Amino acid sequence: MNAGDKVTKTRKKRTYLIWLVAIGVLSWIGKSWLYPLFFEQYTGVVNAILTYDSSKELTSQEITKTADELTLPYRAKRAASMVPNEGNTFIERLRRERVMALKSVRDDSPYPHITYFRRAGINRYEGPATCLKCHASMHVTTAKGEIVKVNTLEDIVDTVHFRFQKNSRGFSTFGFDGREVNGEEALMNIPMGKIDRACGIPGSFSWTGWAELVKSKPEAANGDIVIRSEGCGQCHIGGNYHPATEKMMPIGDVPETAKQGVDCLICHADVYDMNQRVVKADEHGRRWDQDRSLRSAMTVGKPKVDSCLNCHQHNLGGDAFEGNKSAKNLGHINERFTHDGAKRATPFSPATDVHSAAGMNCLDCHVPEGHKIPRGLHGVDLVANDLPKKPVSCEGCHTASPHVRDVKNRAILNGHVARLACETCHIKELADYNVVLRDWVYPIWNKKEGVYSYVDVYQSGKPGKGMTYLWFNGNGTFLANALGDNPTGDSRYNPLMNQLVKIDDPEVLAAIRGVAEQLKQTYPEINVDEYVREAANPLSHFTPEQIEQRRQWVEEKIRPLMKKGISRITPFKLFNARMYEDMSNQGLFGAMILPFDYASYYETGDPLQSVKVAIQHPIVRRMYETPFKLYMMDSFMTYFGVKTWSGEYPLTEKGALKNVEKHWMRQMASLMINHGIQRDGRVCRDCHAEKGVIDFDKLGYTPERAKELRHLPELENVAKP
Amino acid sequence: MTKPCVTQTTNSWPHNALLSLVLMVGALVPLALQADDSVANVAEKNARCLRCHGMETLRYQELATGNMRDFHVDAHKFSQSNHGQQGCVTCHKGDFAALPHRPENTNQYHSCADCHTGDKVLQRMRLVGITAQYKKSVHVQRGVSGFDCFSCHNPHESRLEEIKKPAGNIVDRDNDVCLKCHGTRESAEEKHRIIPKAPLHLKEVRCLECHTPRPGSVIHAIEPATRAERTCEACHSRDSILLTKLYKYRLHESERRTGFINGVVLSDYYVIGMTRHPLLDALGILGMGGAFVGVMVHGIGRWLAARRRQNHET
Repeated sequence: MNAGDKVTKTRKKRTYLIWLVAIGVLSWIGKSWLYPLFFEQYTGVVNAILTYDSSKELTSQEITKTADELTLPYRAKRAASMVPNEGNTFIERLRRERVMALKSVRDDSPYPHITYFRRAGINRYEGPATCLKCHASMHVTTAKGEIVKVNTLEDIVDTVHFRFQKNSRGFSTFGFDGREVNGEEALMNIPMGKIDRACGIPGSFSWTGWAELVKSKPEAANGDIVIRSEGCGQCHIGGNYHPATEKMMPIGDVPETAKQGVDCLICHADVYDMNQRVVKADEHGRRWDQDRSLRSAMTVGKPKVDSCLNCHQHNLGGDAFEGNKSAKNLGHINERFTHDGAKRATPFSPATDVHSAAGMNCLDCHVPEGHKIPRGLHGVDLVANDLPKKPVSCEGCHTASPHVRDVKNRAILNGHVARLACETCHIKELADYNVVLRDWVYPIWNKKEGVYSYVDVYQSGKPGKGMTYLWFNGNGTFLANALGDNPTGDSRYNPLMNQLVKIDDPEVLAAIRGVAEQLKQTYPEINVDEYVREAANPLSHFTPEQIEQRRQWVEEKIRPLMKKGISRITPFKLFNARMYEDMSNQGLFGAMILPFDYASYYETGDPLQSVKVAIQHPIVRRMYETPFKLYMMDSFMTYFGVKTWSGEYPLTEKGALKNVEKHWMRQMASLMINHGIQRDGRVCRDCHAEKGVIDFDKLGYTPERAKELRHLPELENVAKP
Repeated sequence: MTKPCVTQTTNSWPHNALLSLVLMVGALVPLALQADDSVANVAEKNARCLRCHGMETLRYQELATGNMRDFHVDAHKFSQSNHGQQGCVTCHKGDFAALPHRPENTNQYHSCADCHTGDKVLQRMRLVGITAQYKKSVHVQRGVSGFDCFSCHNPHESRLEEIKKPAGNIVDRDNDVCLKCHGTRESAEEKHRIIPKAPLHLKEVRCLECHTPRPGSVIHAIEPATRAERTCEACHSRDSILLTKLYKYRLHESERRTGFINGVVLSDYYVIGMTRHPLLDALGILGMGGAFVGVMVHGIGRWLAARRRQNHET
């Protein structure tokens, strides 16, 4: 080896090093600068610095005044306990006022942050930035009992409450192709969750219905135009111009500005003003406003029942529920809409739920790990789960043998636990405003709200009508149908061919007919018989061959999933909706649902026009292009039971809709109901009777066994209640 | 923490000791299993009872004590048990028409001795010895209310044990019997913190090994916690008490199968990982690893030397 060789070698080494550094720098620039720019250009999402009008600086006097006002009920209670009845009202008042002003009484208030803010010199609440001054990191106890330190902001930004989807395992849901969503056999993991699941509510495709302003003409305003707020962003903690779209991609992250949009107070403030939760428009776009007042911030602490119910009562009790506090505080300006027909109609309130009456906190059952909150091991829908392995169950407190007090019946009641879910007896029915059938295709004028609105063709909370009993092993299909099978039966039990695709209750049919006849007055083209047939039998437009294909498909792909695990009879809320579907992507279980644009739907009552507007949203367009097809839509469709995503954009260049049809989803969805628990459950004869609430034939028992279950000989020997 | 105790009956104990004998000592006697009755047969014969008693969760916690009372009879396990050919009413006598059944009826049932007295086979099982042991046990000495053979041994599932099962299965099954009343595995681990690697011990040996008197074969004379075996060498020695307790069955099985008991007598001590002593295992692995490294180093050295020689020549 000579000197020349050595020089060449050193030079080579140096070149490699320069290249390495250059690649490093370039990829950093790419990831931090170019990729976000490209991503925003490609998907049309907007990010900007977020400001909030309610985030105001308070003077020292204002702070004291607000603190006094907030702590008044507590201090009054303390004073009452410390000062005995004096007989003389003047002296009593005087003494109580002195006690209420005591330093120790003030400092002891249930809102310790008043003192913390004073000490830290915080006189304005600026969102996460303020919270993170002290709470930059937090200690989280994991399921294993280990204590780990996490970055608070990253912890919350990574939860479903912020991102609405997960692209990892942990769904209890199976595609119609037989594969677990994002499971072991998945082609690839795709982002799944509320952000993109197929659901009969237009906002579920979250980008097109995130934060909308609608011109309404409510009856109360005498024909004047009133601007209203609508969209799924109202219930989500991110205050950005779009859902956390960046989190859907394998690289990149939501920008720091979006993270500063997290609404800490909606969960942590005891006194949160839901009237601030309205849509505001600025030069960048539309987004949801928040209560960022120092007043709210002073009341922070662990989430209370009402914190969760700010949003979740909407799903549990619905806007129609009298005790829904959010529905009473719709906004100082741009009031939110209230919606008729509840999603679950199981209100969580002392009058309607035994656990609420007992004063329990939501987090007592949904025990969180940091900001991650579990939703249990079971689930039929595609809502992502932050802690998929953490149970949320009745057995956790009540044991697997929960009946103790009823000395006569405790053994036989516990005996039923092997076959029945607790909810089967302890949720006797849902509220009567539970929506079962919702038609988006023939909107009618809603006088109260002053907009065109969907029609709830049928509402009922009664068993056999608005709710039904199905075998459930804890899993669901891609379109929210409970999976499970009769453990004693043959292949008789088949909800995807029977009870979820057929309404045969004469009362329900009559109600549907009534609505159809009413609609015919506005839409003369409606054929009432056809309307009833389509609503009562969503497979009515299938050919006999298609029905047979579907039957075979269920046996081949779905039956093995139904037979998994342990099935128990469980109550489900039934739901179906008619929407417009992209028939280029259709299969035996449904077709891709097209989103509606809220504003045009509400204002014009023209659903087709509304579909056109919605699918022109940049990100919906992108979904029809190759990158998204390969990244997620192909996988999405295989779960749907359709081979591939056609990629054919349903809007022609001339602006006409192509291959778009109106259909009910091919089977009713069955949604889990777990709240609205009643202390006194059902009794033997509620089910074991000729017209009991449970249809044993439909549950797949042999006719002989079903008959026997209706007429149990033992019942004659049981002491009558 | 004490878990609710599962008690099947409130009968007095004496004659019922037969049953436990069938369970454990029965293994020593080469008896054929009497399990020719199919599940369907059993289910049909006892259909009326199994309509309710076939429910897996037919049970409740007693209000006064919190003890769990379990009324479930597993038709499959019953059909496989030694009593599988009997109908429910063979042992349970009374009027069961009323629902729930009246206590005066449910308390009347045959105990083991009602049928098995004078049974030659059972005499050979040394029932008398077991009875004597049982009388000394802490459960009897302390007068635990409602305790009898059936507290540990379920008559609806008892069968001559299949000795071929690996020791681990026996450990789990036997320990589950204790844990029905004595807390959970976690609480047991907590209580046994005095033992190094308590979870491993609880997984690999039976409670009985330490909680019965030394030497073995007296597993029904369960002793109070204060008198439990506390010395490591009791097991971790050549003269391990396990040879007379847990491994006794393996010894017999090995002898029966191969007619050769050496392997068991030597307790597989020559196999790395089976010495039951981490230091010996470590030394064994070290020795093997050392030999391997030695060979490799030697080989590489030879190879390098050969290469150098070759370079030199060219």
